[in-house]
Amino acid sequence: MLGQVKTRRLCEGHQSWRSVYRSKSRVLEIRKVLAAIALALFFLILVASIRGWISQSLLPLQSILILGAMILFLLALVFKQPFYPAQLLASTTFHPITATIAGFLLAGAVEAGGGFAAAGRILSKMGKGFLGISGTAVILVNIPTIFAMPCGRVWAATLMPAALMFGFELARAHDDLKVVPVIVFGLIINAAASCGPSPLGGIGTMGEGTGGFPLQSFSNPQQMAIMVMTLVAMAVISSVFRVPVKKSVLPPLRDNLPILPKTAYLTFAFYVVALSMVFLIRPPIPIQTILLAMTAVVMMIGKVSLRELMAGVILHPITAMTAGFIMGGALLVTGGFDALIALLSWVAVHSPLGFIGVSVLLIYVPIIFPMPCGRIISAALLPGVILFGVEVVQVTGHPQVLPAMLIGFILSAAASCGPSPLGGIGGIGEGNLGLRHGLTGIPLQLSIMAGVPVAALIVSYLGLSQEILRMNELLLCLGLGLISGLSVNMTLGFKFYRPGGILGGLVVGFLIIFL
Amino acid sequence: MRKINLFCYLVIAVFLAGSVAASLTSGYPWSIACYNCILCKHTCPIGIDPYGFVKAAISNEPDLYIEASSIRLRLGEAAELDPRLSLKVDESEMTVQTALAKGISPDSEVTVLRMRAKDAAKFCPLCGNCEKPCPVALPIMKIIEDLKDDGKFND
Repeated sequence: MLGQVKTRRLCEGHQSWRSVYRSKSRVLEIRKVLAAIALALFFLILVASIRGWISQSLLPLQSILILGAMILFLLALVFKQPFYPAQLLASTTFHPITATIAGFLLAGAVEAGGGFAAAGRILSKMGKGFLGISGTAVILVNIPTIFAMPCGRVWAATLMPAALMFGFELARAHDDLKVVPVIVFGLIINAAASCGPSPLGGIGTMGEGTGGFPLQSFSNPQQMAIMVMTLVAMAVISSVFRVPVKKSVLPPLRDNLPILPKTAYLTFAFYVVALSMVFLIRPPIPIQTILLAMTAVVMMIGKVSLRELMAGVILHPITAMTAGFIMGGALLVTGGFDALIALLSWVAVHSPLGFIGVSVLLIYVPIIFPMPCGRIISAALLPGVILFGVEVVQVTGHPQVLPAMLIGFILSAAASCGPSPLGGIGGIGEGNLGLRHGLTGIPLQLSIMAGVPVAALIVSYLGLSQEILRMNELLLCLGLGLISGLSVNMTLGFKFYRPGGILGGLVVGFLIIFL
Repeated sequence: MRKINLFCYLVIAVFLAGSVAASLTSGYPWSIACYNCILCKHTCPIGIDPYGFVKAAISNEPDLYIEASSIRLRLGEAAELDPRLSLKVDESEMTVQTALAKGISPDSEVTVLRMRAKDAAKFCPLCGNCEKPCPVALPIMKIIEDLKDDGKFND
């Protein structure tokens, strides 16, 4: 009886539901217009930053992104699209922000304790040994991918002094300044992309989770592709895109280096050993907790004060990422990303590109719209990638297309923060070398374009696996390491068969698979 | 221009502080430690996205809509639960309101696509599958049990 009453009441409401239905269709049209405006505005902000129409000295990118997000929220109110602050919080990924803060605190502690100065001395000694400069350089630029952290900025900021030191030594030895940006931007693209394969909450795990693939199955193909990305970036900057570094950037030669206390070497040793243990054991503890615990230990070993610690925290990337996430949230609320997928779907159906051609375009969307953090666009577009992936699997009949597309997209997204004109990691290198903002965008984007298909091909032909050591992957990785070593030898002006470079490349290949 | 820049940076600071405050208020500040790996998503036997519960805790919003793709209800029951609940009907996505307006019988069975976190918690069988793949061992079940109780956080 009660059920009948309920049903009657629901049916009586049908008339009002019909008018709701009609107004729903109008609402959908309004939402499409709002989404299109949101996408166009975001594109305008991007182009304005790239072209320098908005001077960074007047309005830094954080302000541009926040103001842009506010305009979108205002438009949502004008178009009567409901949203509430909780949506913005729910759409933000706090993991890279907190990992970056924790990473900078640890890096600051190690720096204040003399650990990185000790690292510089050790690298300098390695450079004079069998590995030589090229072998040490190939290991140095690949460290971010070997010890892949959830945010590459931690490694980029940490290793930049070492990369610069190496570059300057080589520039003096060869009387050629162009090798400095080669090493610096090789490190930067490697660091930028390294958040993809990170087992500590990297973007790759988002793809594995969303697609239902085994845990850590995306890691090895990405790491191998990043090796290729790095050597391409170094080769392109060395031979095609000449980056004009001024001589004034070179620091003066010092005859006697200051003696470092033993605690400096102890600090660095603890840093390396503890990080290696984290990657080997993978404890079920947030990496932020581990990094903070390490910071406390380093502060005790290196007798570091709190003030020295805080000096290591760089606010710019943290505020840039947060502003990027707020903008991403605004685009989600207004449907900007949905508009992008709708546009691509329309192009797939109505143009000769078809679903396969548009899928290739979709994989590279993160570097066409590069954000300060690749997670912003990857979280928004992953469902779209799966949608397109399923279509392409049906068209081609090749089931490996879906994981190949996912891994390609994720790697593209992970690396996209390198060339981003909206506070990307490339800015660290440009700032240190006194270069124009955005100058290295194109070479870094080209290296990403070259590296992404490598990951997709590896997945297509070798498949996915959770196994730590697969013989075919090991051989491929060693092969790519060898090519890496040969390429870096030539890029840095040495003979291609220089054994140090080759050994360095093989060491990188081995460590990537093993760790 | 300086004031505009200061305002924008304040917005960022308030956003970060607000997110910490929201997760503290919900009673689950550890939810910020979530890696966003979404490995828990495919473990739920009834298709609820457990990451949605974590997002609801971060934002202290039990009414946050989360994915719940395999729950089947009668349309009438869905209307009583939440008229804005998102459903799949004949391969199309629509809300309960729209489905009723189209004349679909309240006795028809429909598949849920998205529902409020507090409603999804009611259907959760508390099997614990979502906690098993978590790389940082987040106790997601605690959030679900809290919401199952009265639909509010930490009440």
